[in-house]
Amino acid sequence: MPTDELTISFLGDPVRVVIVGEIDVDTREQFKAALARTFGSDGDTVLDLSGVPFMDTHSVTSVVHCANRLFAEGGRLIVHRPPPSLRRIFEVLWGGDGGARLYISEKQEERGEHERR
Amino acid sequence: MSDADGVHAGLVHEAMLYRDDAEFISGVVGQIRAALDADQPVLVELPGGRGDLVRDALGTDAQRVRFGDMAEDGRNPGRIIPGVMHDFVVGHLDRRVVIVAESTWATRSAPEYAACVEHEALTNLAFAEQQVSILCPYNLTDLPEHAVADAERTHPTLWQHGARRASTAYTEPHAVVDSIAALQPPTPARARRLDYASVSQARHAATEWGRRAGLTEDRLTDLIIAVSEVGGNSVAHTSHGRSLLWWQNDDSLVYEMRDGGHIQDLLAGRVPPPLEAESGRGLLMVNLLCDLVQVKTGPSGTAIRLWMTLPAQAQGQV
Repeated sequence: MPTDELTISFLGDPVRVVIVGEIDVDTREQFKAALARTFGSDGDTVLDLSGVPFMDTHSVTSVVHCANRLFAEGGRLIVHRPPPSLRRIFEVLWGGDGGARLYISEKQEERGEHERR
Repeated sequence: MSDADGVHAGLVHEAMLYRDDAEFISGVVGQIRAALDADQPVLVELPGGRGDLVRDALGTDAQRVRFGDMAEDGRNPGRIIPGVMHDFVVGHLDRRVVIVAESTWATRSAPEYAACVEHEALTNLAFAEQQVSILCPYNLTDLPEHAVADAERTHPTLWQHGARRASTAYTEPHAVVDSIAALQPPTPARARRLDYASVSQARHAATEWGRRAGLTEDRLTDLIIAVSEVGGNSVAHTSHGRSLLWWQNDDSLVYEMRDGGHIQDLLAGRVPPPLEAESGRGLLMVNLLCDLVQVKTGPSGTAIRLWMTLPAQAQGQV
């Protein structure tokens, strides 16, 4: 079924953003607004995509840019259980990583504090 | 190509016509050695094992050359500029680079062949301002007779029997692209059709049929990314008439996406945007992921065909 709206939750400290829904041309602005709220956090930010079955190139680009910006600000973006489309787009466009500071986690029970080093 | 006095500015795009391995090697290797002597980076992209011929002929100099398999890297001819050549060119902006690229070979299908002609035409635009020399071998023994005429249309100069000559039939890239689009067969009557309201709807229909026809999960991921990029552009830039059509063509699934828009930029999807750009990678991804992409666009609308090759065990079904 077409989805034209995401469900977005902000949880806890460290910041955990949980997204549910498909991210494409119809929902990308909502998604980008959620990403923008993570800027300024200097610890780990977990972007939980386990409820996202699909992301398009534009939205993956936004994630990469967000990760780079958080890294520059002294933080880190951890993408939790992304859809295959994120992995594929990331691999094809940022193959050798291309400077992208993106961390991907697949743990079943991911908790932000366990990600700290 | 790169001649000793270095008088060339900008792109040199040359077809090299050959009839056997000896002629191929003498033409290609001479130019590569001249480039290496001038300290110019060299990329050799040839189909299958043909790179080995060049490697053997170069001996130890082969270590200074980057090799790639065009049959894999350039399976979709629309991928050659953005996926094969672009990074090599922008990685060496301080000097002229030399690329030997054989895009066209005898076992290319008819639609792939047409896409190769289009690719060769667009090469003249994509690298017009760059210090790059591109040598395109054409095997006249195996290719159809009209390949020489097509090479003449798309290359300002040709190299044959050890001598260079100007093309007598060079044609502006937009005219070549238009002629390729005009030859595209119509959508078959058996095609199924969905007029879609959201990209999500198009994606789900494409997935369902692709899975039933036998695409693997990895290829389905590629497909839904491609469908979403084309559909996303439609939603962002046009207001009506969006439809998805699909059919099977021998060993491939073809998805055609139509809308009422007109793509003005001939290089859309052929040149990667800068790293920091937020958008502009949609059609690029389509070219990088699909096995073949055909674009037909004009004032009355646009149709983009995405070809996905079926795995061998699924061919001939559906």
